[in-house]
Amino acid sequence: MTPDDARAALDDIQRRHEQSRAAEARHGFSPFYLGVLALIVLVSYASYDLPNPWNGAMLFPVVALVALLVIAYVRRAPVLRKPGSGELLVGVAAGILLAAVIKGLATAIGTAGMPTPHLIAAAAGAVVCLLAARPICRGADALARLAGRRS
Amino acid sequence: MDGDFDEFLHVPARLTIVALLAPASWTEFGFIRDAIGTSDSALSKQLSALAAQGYVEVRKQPGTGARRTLARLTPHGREAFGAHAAALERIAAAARAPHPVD
Repeated sequence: MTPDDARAALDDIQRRHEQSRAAEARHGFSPFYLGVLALIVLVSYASYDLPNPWNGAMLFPVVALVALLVIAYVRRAPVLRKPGSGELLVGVAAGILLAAVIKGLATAIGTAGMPTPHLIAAAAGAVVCLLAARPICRGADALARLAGRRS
Repeated sequence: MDGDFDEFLHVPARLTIVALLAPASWTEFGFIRDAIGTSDSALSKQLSALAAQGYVEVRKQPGTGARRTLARLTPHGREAFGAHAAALERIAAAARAPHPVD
């Protein structure tokens, strides 16, 4: 075993790691999952425009939809990986930020006197999900790799 | 040779499989086969060899359609792979180390 052979083996190991990560990302960011995620955001927040007692009632079927989505993901994914604590933290922070932005936007639209403020804000939130999900998760993955290299 | 260097693991087909499994908790058989461009039988043979050494665990995912086969590194396999990669790093680093003057 020469140093060059060892370096070639290490390069191949690195390439295979990337191959696994890319397969996981390809599956997670497929149009199906991103579309359902955007639909979940749209439907759950838009339902707040409905009159009582239906105000926010869509949250319950949405929880069931999320559960089905998770089951479908686990059963179809070519590569399954438990997210690290850093990735979970980024995910929770992004969720809270999105909820705050949608709520703030809905309040602003409502104050301006426009009808269905939650529907408009939720539609904007859904578009943000479609556009931002991939970069956010790439950032979380980069953070996880950085943490892995430091440990 | 470095003490952590694992001759069994260093066979290219096995090292490739283990490197694909390392970042994941479970990996699908079909993905591994396509990633390394091998046949079902050749991959089964290598996975069986790795499982016999206790490096890999293979299971069938129950379902309504065709059952999926999944594989993962065992804690022992993960440890052996980490040690082997570290040995490779040391061997590669030896080339960069300054040689003593005679």
